[in-house]
Amino acid sequence: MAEFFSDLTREERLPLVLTRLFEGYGYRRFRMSKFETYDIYNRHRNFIDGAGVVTFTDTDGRLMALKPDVTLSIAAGAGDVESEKKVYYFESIFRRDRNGELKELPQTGIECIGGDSAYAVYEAVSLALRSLKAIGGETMLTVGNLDFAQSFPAFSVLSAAEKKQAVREIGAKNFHGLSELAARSGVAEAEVDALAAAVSLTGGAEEVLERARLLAKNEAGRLALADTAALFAALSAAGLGQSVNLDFSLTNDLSYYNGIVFQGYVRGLPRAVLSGGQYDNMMRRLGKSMPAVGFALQLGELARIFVSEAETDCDVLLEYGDAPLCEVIRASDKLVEKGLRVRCVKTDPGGIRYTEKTVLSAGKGRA
Amino acid sequence: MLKIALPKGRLGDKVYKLFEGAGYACPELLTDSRKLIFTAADGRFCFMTVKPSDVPTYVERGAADIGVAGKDTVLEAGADIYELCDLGVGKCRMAVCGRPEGLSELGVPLKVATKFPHIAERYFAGLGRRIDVIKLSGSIELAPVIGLSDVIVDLVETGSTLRENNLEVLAVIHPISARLIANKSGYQFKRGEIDALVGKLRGRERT
Repeated sequence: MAEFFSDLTREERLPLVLTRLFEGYGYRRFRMSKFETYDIYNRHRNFIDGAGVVTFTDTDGRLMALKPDVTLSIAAGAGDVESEKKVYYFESIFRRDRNGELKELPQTGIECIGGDSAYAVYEAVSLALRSLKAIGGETMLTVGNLDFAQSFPAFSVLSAAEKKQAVREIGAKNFHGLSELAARSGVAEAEVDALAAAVSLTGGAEEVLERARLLAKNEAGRLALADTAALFAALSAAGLGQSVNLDFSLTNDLSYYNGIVFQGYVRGLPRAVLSGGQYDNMMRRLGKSMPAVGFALQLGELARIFVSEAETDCDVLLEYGDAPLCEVIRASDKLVEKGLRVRCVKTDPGGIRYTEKTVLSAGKGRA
Repeated sequence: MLKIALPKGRLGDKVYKLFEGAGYACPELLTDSRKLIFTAADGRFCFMTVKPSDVPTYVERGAADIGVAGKDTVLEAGADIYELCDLGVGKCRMAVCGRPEGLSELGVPLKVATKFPHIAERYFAGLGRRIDVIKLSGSIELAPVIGLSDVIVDLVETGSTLRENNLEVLAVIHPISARLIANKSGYQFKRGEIDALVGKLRGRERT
């Protein structure tokens, strides 16, 4: 096994490394069908950004959907009992993008439902960090805590629609727009400034937490900071304090997510490749009162950084010309057995990238 | 190196002056060159000049780390980006304009001519009004005059074009100005450089 492993490219190795990682922390493989009834996605369209779901009609008239999401199926399928459910998956999801184009998006991820929240959240964040590390290159995980912004009076007095808009502005780091929004709804200027100052904090955890503590207004705010501090303390104790930032502008839909949320970036890729967080609120909407946390890693996005790696198409280009077939087979099999990647061609067509070229001539073997 | 996308044209020239004032000078940009990329002498940053409405695309897809775009193009593109600061130049308003009776309820979808179909759709959806969007690329003011549309959604600066065509502002959708936007991934890895630039631009703004 180890011998084969070293022959694999980074792209081929990644799913194996991740499987090992997730299994190692007690997660079991979860498999699901490519399609499900549309009903569940429709009821939670905000969670999955329902506009992009691809639907079709079953022979018995039921509206079906190509699965646009994995988390919802796992969460909906979790039992009502208090026991913990820990699963990981490698699945493709299907979405329409902004231009209506149909996209298949391969992703992997974990979900931990039930169980003790503090440890589960640490574990999910640590696995996110280890997953990013497995990708290689320069990576960065940003962690936020939704409860901190929500603890500010300037946020909590907003209407539901205004909160949605506020979450969008905070997520875009548009603190100017956030202040305008809060001011329009009659929040006192000092309160608005406090909220804007809080959500604009970003950087190394220690420094950010220190500044955040000065801004915390109430017990809820201090509690959110204590949770966050505990998480970062656990990460550095585990030797995972590198390549992770605290950013209070990181947001997500509040009707599904709560508490710790996070996003992972790889240098050179324009969008976040990993995103996750606590979704106790969604569990509540599903009628299950239990904590839940998880993340998804977009494997399709990563293909871009792996593509440039395969510098050759084969190790040996075997040009056999007029050599008898049995000679060609004997020569190529010998090379393949040695572990080399061999491509047999009658004549070199050009354009194939190889490390070494071997030419067979009629009846002679190697030339 | 920090890759900065600037809009071509009038707004771009104004914005470049702001960057120059903040210590990000690249005089070659002001020459009548056909070049599209201008690298600073010390290699700290480079400017690329692109069509204004394309700036959010360059930034969202990471071709540029940061860029300057009007709030109108940011809203229209709906791109997933950071909007780090309001540069306070290129000020105008996104508005619904037409004849005073243009918005009256007729029981049929309102015909809206615009260069900004997404902004128009979102605004009227928020009001619960059905619309029929007519996408045009220029001379929008002509549409309600000749009956192509009931109203228009467009940028209004002084309002003189509107007045000359007997149109008026019926509702303001959003105040517009130039924004400094950033790629979300690029920001994670170049936060120091980008924050320094934002700080200097903000400092200039106040003086």
